[in-house]
Amino acid sequence: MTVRSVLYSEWTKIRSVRSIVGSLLLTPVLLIGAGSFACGAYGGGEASHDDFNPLALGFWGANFAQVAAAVFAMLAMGGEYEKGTMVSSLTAVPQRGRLYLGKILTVGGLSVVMAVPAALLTFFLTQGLLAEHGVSLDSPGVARGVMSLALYFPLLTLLCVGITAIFRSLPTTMGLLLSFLFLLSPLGMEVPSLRTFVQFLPDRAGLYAAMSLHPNTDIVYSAWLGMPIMAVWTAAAVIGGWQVLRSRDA
Amino acid sequence: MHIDVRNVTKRFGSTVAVDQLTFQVEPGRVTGFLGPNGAGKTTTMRMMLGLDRPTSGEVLVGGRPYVQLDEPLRLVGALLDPSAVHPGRRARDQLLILARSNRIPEARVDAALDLVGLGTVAGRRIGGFSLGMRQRLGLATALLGDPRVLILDEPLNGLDAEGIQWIRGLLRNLAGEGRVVLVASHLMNEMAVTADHLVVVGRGRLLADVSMTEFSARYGRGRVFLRTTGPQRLGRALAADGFALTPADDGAWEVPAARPDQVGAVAAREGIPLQELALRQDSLEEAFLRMTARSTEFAAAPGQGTP
Repeated sequence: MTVRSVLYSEWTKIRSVRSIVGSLLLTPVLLIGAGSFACGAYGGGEASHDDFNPLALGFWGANFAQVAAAVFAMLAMGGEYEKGTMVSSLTAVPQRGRLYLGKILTVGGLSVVMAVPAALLTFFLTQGLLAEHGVSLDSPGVARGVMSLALYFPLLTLLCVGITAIFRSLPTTMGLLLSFLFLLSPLGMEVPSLRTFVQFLPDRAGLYAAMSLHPNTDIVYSAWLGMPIMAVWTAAAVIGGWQVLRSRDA
Repeated sequence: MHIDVRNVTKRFGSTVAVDQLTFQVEPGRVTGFLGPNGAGKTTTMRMMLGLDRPTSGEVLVGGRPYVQLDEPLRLVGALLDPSAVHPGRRARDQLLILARSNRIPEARVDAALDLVGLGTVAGRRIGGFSLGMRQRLGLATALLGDPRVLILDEPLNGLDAEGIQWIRGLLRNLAGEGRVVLVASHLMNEMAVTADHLVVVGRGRLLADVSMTEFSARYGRGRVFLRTTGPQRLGRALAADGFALTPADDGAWEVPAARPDQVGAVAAREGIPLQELALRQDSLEEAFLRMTARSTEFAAAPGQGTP
């Protein structure tokens, strides 16, 4: 058995379920669409504010696209537990490390393939719509923002794969991740006493790295550290998921 | 090639699902793996497939633990839970996923679907399949890699009479080709006409590992059915020889644990007329129930008498 044959099999798993393909395709649509809408419709008005951040407005769609990306990853991994297909997957590939690696590489790889062009397209489209209020790639912090946006989705999907493998349940993971990451974490940023902690959560760190142009006094770390912080979370989740898959009966 | 279960114990917390189980499954015959629900059959099969790890002991397939097999579907085919499929997938994709990881040619996917009679619905989503169709899809999965070893958990579930007939023929053919065929079931009557050999478990323990013929001979307890005009005299004569005459339905009588020739000899010696004399065999289902009921009694015994 080769890694290639496992990857081919994992790709077939994803390709053959419409909801998984759909959520992956929805991610760039939301990212590009929502950002373009925001810049096209409200760009002029927003630009008059003192704290106007053209990158944050252009990448506004990331708030929605991340939900679709997370659902994609959770369906890809959690579907195996939800539908009980983990049993046939493991009888075909009993070496659990190989199976897990195949899943990680396929989900991560597809996320990269989706996110890199989507991030670039989002940037050029939205900044083009902002015209004279937009920023260019060589402005300070912009290259970091675009790179971070492109990296945000693969890191997020791998985080979701790892957490799903830890809980071995699709509903649990969905309930936990979707409410925690995308509701509690953005709201937590508005509460001063929680902010010190919440800003270190993976989605906050990742989006801060993607959207920040000027130093934010509420955030205690530099925007360059956003991605490494998120990567630590992702690595922890992936390793945790591996520990559970390795040690538990299927 | 065979399956080797060696002194295997599996505990889930404080529950002992499989208790020091040892048996071998040989090629060239259909081995029925029989036991009431909860006897540890599925757990044992899952350990054969590396899904559950034994608490102690080992399970080998073709001399190796399953997890050490490279491209295992080419050697072992399994049917565990036919409902464990993604309803949104097409039947063909379901098999393709497994074929690709084990580098099984795509032509085998179509061959397996044709073999189980699903060739015409290969492109349909599994969600619309009936229980019987899912069972057939599960069998196609098991047969996908043309394996030397088949491990099937309740393969007759959900099939109609025609389907059951078809599977029996299929299992016989597969065994006839020298493959290892292990079929778990909780219904003795199913196994009586399908299996050549029986491994019976109860409460995770081995109760019998015998050929079907031996099982019927040893456990299918015989009794003599008769009609006579002199039951009192015959009863006394039989009692002297260590047999008991018990009333049966419709004015007939029965002698448990006896053969007709023994009863006939007693009647002839005493000059008692007999209108009817026949051997009645317990059904295998009854023999099986008696055997597994006893395992339950034994399992309960150690608790008695302790304060």
